[in-house]
Amino acid sequence: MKTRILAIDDSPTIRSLLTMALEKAGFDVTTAVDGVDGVQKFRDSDADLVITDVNMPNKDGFGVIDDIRGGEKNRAVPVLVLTTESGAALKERARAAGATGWIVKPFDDDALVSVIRRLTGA
Amino acid sequence: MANDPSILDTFFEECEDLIVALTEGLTEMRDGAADDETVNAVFRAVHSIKGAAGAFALDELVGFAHKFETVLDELRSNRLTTDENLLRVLQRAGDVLADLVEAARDNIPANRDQVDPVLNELQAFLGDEDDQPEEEFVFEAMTLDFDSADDQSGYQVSFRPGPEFYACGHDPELLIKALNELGSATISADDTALPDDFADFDWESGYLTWTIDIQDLATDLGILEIFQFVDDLCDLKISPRDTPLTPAQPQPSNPKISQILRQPRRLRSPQRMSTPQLTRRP
Repeated sequence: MKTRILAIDDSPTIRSLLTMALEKAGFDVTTAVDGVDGVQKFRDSDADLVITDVNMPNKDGFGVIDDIRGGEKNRAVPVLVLTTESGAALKERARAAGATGWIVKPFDDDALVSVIRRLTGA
Repeated sequence: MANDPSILDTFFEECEDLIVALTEGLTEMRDGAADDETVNAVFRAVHSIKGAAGAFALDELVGFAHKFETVLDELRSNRLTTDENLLRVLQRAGDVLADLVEAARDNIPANRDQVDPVLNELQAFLGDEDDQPEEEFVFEAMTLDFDSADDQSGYQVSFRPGPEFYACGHDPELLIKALNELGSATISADDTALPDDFADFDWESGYLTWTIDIQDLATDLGILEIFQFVDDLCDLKISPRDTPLTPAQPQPSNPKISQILRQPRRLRSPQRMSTPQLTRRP
């Protein structure tokens, strides 16, 4: 079975870039357009890993992680934060929110796939 | 991937929508009809343009959007107050951002005579704070001493996950599998930290210390990459194999709890690697 990735980002460009890169690598990709949509799709599906943007309307990426970690279903799923921030502040914020790791935009396709494989064992 | 023309078309279509949202938000701010969500929406529009533009190496657009969003971030964090001058500069910045998007779409150079004065006005709101390049979160390249590398036969990695390790969705087995792919590995688990009494057992705590002995590994860069996200979530020690780690002092362990724990299974070894030996420390 393919590894299932839920990609949450309000930017159609980033969603397209993620989908193309991850499907090319053999992953099964579902996308969500904001945090609320992302949490709903997480509950309705069986994602092996979640990638989420931080700044989004309705619910931001840290709110998404809060909902996942505080829920009953698959609460230990790896969650990667996709952000334009960098540096120690990003690490601190992502860690405090319960993120498993972080990828800085613009992302390198190979590096992203490598991190996903490592975090999922795929 | 980012060179795909259809993705670039998607980006410019997205930019059109974001510029409309930006213009509407700035108009509301100018008319005094804005609330916190309006400022957040304006920030997100600029932030989204910056984030996606980076994928296409549109550096002038990214650089201007970064300065613009930093001022907006100061505003939404109440470190700047709205006044006539700030609103005027934000309006000009919105116009310049739209021009930069158009220049990028037409693949022509930006008009620096229009861009630079607005950049300077944005910078004036930030002082020296944002005048430095962003700190990059990268691994430092190591200088390899090839003479001594000839003598380096591998590394020993020891780690004991803490509670936050599991809370953030990490799995020690996946780290061990990744280490096993770096070289021929021998893996052992020390369970002497397990509590004597089952009632004292905390399911969210880490009691096992894993030690992975990797042969034929000249540098620890691969190890550092594997522990990139967890270096401060576990008690981690990495040392060359010629200076072995001091074994943990044996402590009384409850065999019943040990039996309850799943026996770590032998990892599937890549064909080019030798099969790791899974042993338990006395």
